[in-house]
Amino acid sequence: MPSIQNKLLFWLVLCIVLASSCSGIISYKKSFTATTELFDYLLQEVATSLPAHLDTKTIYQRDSLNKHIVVQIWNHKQHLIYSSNPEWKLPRYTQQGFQTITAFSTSWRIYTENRRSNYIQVAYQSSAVHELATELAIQAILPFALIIPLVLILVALIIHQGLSPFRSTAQALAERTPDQLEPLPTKKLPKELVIITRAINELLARLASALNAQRSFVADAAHELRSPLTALKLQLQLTERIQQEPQRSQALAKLHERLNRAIHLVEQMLLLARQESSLEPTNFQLHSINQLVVHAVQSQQALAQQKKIHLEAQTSPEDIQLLMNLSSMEILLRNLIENALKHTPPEGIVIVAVHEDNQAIVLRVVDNGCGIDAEEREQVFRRFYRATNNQQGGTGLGLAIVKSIAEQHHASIALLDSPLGQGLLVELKLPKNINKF
Amino acid sequence: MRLLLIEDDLMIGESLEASLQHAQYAVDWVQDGHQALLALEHDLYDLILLDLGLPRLQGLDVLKHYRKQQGEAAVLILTARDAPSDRVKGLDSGADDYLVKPFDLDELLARIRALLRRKAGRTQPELAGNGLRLDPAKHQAFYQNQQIHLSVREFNLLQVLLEKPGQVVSRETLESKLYGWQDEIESNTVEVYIHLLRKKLGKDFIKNVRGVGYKIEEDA
Repeated sequence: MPSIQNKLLFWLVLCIVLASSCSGIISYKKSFTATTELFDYLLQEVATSLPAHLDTKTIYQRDSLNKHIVVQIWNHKQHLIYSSNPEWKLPRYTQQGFQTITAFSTSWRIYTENRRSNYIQVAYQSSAVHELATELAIQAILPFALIIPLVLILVALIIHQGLSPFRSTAQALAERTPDQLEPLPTKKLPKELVIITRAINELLARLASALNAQRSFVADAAHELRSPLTALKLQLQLTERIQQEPQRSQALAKLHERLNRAIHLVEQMLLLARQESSLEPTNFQLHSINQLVVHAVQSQQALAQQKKIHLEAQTSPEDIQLLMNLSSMEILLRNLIENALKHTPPEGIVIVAVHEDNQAIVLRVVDNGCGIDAEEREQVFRRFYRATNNQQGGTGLGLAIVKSIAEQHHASIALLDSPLGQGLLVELKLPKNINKF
Repeated sequence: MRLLLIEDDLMIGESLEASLQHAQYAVDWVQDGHQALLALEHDLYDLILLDLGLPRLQGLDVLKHYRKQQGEAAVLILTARDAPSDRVKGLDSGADDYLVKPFDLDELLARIRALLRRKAGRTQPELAGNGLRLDPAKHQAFYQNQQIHLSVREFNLLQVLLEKPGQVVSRETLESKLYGWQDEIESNTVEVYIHLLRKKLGKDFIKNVRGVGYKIEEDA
């Protein structure tokens, strides 16, 4: 893209040139008409002012004054009796009055008149008129031509001045470090720039909030990563010191346990970071919610049997198709079922149920485990928050991931008392209105 | 030496407890602030390992409360918070040292030894008295410049007595320094070890003050 300044200058110069050309052409045409009229009048005057009775002998008189004008007089015998300019011997044109003819390969304007049996013909070369008209036209456009450079300089200055807020805004942006995300001042800016600055400010605000979220996540993550690493390092150093079996094998088994915990934390953190960074709903496809639930329950059945927990899927009588990000929804359900299994004692019950009400598709995970205290039910969705009665040593990220996925699906999520007497009911309401996406 | 470990993270707690026991300390482990306050009611610990992020009652509050009750054990804070302001706050609340997770086990044990030394008013890493020299770092004992072999409990018992030469230490105190909650204490066990030590070091090395306890004489 050429610069606005150059573009403006180019078009402005073009307009001035066009305007002055037009005015030149018009003034030439007008001058030409006016000059022709004037010359015609002069021709007639010359013809009229000639003496009425010229004698019959031929006179050639060289008129040194004007080589463009030829005066010729013929007598009634058609003899040329007078010619003002012997170089131009024009023939006699019988038609009276004004006419334009071509002779000696040039254009002439002539006037002829019969007076007392004499025949008077006055002519002048049209080029004379052209010359005069051109001269007049040039004089008309000359001021324009002189004004062009002046206008150019002036316009360039005005544009430069007008664009200076752009330059100062650009400089203000260029001087910023990646941390400086406070809004740009919009006072004293021209209207055009205020629009751009506001848009930039909105972008800056969004960036700042994303950056803050990222920073607090990194700070939390640094803190949270230290715990499993501490346990891992301690166990490693302890294992190194133990020489006897079977203590050494037991210590090694614990080492693996701690390593797995560190791996699990890293995986959950990555999952959450990925989930939160994909702000736009991506890969949304129609999928059967019944099928989703059945698959999720099946994949956790082995773990449930190991803990002797009854895990059951209750599907909806009608198969509901819903727009969803399948892999995210699988993670959501897996996290909820894993949580339920983790906090439910052996012989307990975990039920995953789907039904449809007027506004939403309701997905419930019910257990009869230890539950979460009512006052903690909001906080558990925060990253790295662990419920006070949580003795299982989770990462504190499971429900944060669940919430992020629910938000991506515009779904509401609530923790309620379990209908099984004790435990927790997690209720996810997915909006039916798929046009939202 | 008896230590109290206050740590809510199960895996860290488990590994730390095992490591400290392996280093021959008597260790009690509690997992939240309330339990910590209960354990600290009887001030029988030589050193407290304190995690700051505790459920129910924050570690710093436990520490302030303990110091208010004139608790005198050395306190070593173990935490994942590494900002200088956190360290300052911890030390100003009455902690003696501060270690950021993840730490090295050797460093932790060295700091524990240093804190115990300082608490006993010593600057020398080794304990000595009456011809006996103990090196707590290497768990080595020398008597009349000859290395002698001591069992873990024998070593620990001598260490307690050598911390305060000339002072009488009660049987109960000795017992509490040697055993954590989980250790089963056999009756007469202190007497058994005293008996074994007298065999190795001579009859008069450890004096019995009837009805009060035991002591090692100060160097003349």
